[in-house]
Amino acid sequence: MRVTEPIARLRSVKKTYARSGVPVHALRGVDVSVVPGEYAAIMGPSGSGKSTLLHILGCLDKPTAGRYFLDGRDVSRLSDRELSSVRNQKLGFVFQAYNLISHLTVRENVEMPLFYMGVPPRERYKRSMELVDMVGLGGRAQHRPTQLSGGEAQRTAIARALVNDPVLILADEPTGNLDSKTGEEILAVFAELHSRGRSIVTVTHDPAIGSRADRVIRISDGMIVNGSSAQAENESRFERGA
Amino acid sequence: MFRFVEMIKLALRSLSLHKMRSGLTGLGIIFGVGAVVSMLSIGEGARWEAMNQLKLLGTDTIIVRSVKPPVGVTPQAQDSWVIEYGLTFDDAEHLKTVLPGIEMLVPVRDCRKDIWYRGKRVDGRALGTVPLYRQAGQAGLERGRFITDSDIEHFNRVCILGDSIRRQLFPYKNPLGEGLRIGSEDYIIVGVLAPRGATGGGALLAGRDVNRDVYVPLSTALKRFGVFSYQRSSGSAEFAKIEADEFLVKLADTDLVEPTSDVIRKILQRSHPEPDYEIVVPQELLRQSQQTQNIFNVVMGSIAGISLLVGGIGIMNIMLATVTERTRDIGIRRAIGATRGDIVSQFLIETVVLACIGGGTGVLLGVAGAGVVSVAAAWKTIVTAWSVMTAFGISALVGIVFGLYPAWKAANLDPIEALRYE
Repeated sequence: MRVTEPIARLRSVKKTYARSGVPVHALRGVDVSVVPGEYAAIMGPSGSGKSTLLHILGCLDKPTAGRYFLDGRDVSRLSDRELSSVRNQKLGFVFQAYNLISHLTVRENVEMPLFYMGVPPRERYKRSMELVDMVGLGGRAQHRPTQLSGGEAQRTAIARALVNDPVLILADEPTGNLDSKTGEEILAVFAELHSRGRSIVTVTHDPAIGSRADRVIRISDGMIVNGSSAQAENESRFERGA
Repeated sequence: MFRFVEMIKLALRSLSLHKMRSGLTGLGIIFGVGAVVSMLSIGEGARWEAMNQLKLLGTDTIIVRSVKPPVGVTPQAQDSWVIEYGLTFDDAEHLKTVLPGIEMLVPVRDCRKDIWYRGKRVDGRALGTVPLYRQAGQAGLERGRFITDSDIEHFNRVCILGDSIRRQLFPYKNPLGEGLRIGSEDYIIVGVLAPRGATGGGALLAGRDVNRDVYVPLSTALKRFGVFSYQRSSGSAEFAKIEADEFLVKLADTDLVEPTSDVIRKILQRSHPEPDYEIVVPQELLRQSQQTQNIFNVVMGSIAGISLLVGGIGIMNIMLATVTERTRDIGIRRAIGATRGDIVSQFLIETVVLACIGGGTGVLLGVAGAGVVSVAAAWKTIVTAWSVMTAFGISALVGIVFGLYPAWKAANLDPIEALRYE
């Protein structure tokens, strides 16, 4: 098996906040790598730092110390503007609460990343329609998010996350607001994406997601506490490669 | 470029989500801009009127007018029951010979007689003057003729009507050849003058509405009515002897107005120890009215400015509320790649669009307001393209100035916090 460069790689990442003057060590030296095509689930109790980890992976936050390489580039010291551009071009987000803009239509929500990328309207239209069709909402392209069911809203969010053809999809409790049946449907969509070679990292409490992932990254108290054997093997291989 | 257009469309969509709120928010700007536009139109109208008056009399004109001196100053008044004051024809001759810069000096005499037509009194003034008046007073002939030298020579009993009187007495009829009674004598109408100046505007400089004048030959006036007049006012009556009521002095050049008026004053001081005349320089009056106008403009401008300021603050207030309300949207946009600059543009464009819509509505309101003012107060108002553009520009500027802070606030929200916002 050939050694693949990880798509995302955190090297001893620390994150410390000051919450009302008191420093909170959310991450205390985390090393995580995600290889292309991998489906990883970050699991851990609340307050364990898993959201912080996801924010750093998602370039919404910068590590206090350590390095983060995304798609071969060190993004840990980029400016706000550069990080925006990285989020725009390399990442796709799926949130628990869907986070669609309520006064825009399904299709307009999907095309929004392309707008900030500077893609001309006609091309945006074509690409966003493709994705709306792909997630099975072709007939709902002109609907508003409020007219959608939870599953449909989350599909819209997935379409939006894919519209820029990201190197990594980040999902934060994507089934948290859905009933179990719909949740299954959404997980099926993720599985489908995974089978097509997308790299996915999801934060979840849901063991169902963990069981579908290639690997579970367990985090507690700001540290990775264990990984599956596969992960350990991967990690050691990267160590040798690096 | 397409992004800019799209952001404007987006702004319009967000604003239309809350039409009521946007409308109320825009009110301050609407009234502010409306005030600016109507204020500027009033100012412009006043300026135009003043210019018109100046044109009516000319920048190269001086008016010397007889005024009744204060009681007790005139020595004759002490021992005679006829008070004698004012300009004389000797003064006219004297000034004409002494001052070479005078091109024309036209004496005007108010006959102080009532005008009657078919047994009804007509509101107007019968004035005796000479043929040159037509040039000096810049009176255009509508039809017929003006006073001629022959009229003067033969003491003809003819008269020329001002436009307003003609309209009143002969709305559909040719007045030429008709008779008009001045005092107790009949005069034949031989000419009609074209309308002059703006209504009421002439009052400032000419001291009356020149369109209600009836002109007769000066010689006829003097022969028929004499130089004495009997006037009854507030219970007392007086006899007065006045030769000329007004000299219309036309100079060869505008630059001569100031020095000549000084010389005229000096010359008249010698022959008139008591101040029974006044010298009116239209240029000077114009300058004064301009100054008054400027004060008016500053006051109105400040009021308009304050209302724009208040309007701007209102907009800022609502935009700050909007930013809070859309915190989550901002977080979403930031997460999918909007830069701070994108967020600033979004909110700034929205504010400017709102301000400009307010500005546009304000311009319409201002134009309507100007119309109302000109009808209700009979003030001349002129809405210039310049004033509309200024008002519109100011509203855009208000949008930018008061949009910056909310936009800045929106852009500096922490994306993570913003995404968590409920």
